Amino acid sequence: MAIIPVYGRFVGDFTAHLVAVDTEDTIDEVATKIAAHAVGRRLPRQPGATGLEVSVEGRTLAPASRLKDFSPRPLQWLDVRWKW
Amino acid sequence: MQFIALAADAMAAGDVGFSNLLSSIQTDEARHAQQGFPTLEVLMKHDPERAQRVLDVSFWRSFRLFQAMTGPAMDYYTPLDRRTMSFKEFMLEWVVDQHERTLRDYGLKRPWYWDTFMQSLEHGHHALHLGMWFWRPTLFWKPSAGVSKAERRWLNDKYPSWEDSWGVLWDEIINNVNHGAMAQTLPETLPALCNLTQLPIGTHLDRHHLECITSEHDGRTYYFDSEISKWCFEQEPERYAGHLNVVDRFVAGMIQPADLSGVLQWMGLTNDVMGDDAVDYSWARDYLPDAQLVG
Repeated sequence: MAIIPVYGRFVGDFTAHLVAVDTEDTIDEVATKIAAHAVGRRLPRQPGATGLEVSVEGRTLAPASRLKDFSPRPLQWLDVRWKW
Repeated sequence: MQFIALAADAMAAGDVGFSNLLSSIQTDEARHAQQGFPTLEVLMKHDPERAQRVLDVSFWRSFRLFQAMTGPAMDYYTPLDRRTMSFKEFMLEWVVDQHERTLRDYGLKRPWYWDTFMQSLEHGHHALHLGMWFWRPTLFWKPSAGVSKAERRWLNDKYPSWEDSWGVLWDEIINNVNHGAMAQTLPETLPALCNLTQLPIGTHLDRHHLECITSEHDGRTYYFDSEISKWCFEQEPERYAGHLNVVDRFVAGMIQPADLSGVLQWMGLTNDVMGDDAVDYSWARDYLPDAQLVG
């Protein structure tokens, strides 16, 4: 268990944010932490979406896997988007 | 030029002291500007490639700061009835046209990223304004949102893509203000920052062009707001590599406590001086349904 800072960008927002995540977090939990800085602040919620997905360098991460499974580096850039 | 205009405004407002101060600064800046042309002439004579490279780096870095300081002031802070031109129009008339003529006179080419620079005139300062307003507790002044319905019409007229790029983001903020969800209109963390310009990543164009741009140097990953900033960095990495931006300092544990309150404390911003909306959010009432206005 270790806190690690990442850059999280919710696709559609105008900037990325510094977000503290835990290496034990599931990818779903990471997505929620990143989305909290954009959705409901500058981006509207999307009731029709089935969830969120996270990608790193174009690769989509399995929602139930844990952050530590792909060994992110400090300030790793993560993209979060709606899943339909 | 900006100082002359500011001095004139200060004098018109009756602030003789501030007007004199600005005029004095202007004479100093004009002297610096006079030194630039002979220096450029010497450099062109002996090393034209270096002259072009220096120009390309300094133009972008200067522009990005100018865009941050002047764009929001012209297009959002200036009262609508006092606006004579948009920031983009100002840049096209007073910088682009004149700059191109000067470059030709000295045998220099336009910077290689000219198309992106022109695109940035359409978007960058809107991003910077939204960022400054949203992170208003980190400012030492009270920013005007500048997005009442009338101001929004003006923005859409001057910038045809404004609604799609920026209006939708402001709509969510307006909705939160009008529902009293003020916590949702305030930041809880820092934006990603460029290791060259120090400005938030995503602020040189609009949200549709935001991408992760990095460069590795001596085992460290550097982040940039654009391919242009990355290029500038890579011309002289040793010049910039040791610097820590605010996010880097935060991550290194140099800012405590490690949250936004620690950042504000580190910046010396207390409740009595930190920024808040300039007009107490009155502009957002424009968007309330008529029934609520009557009530």
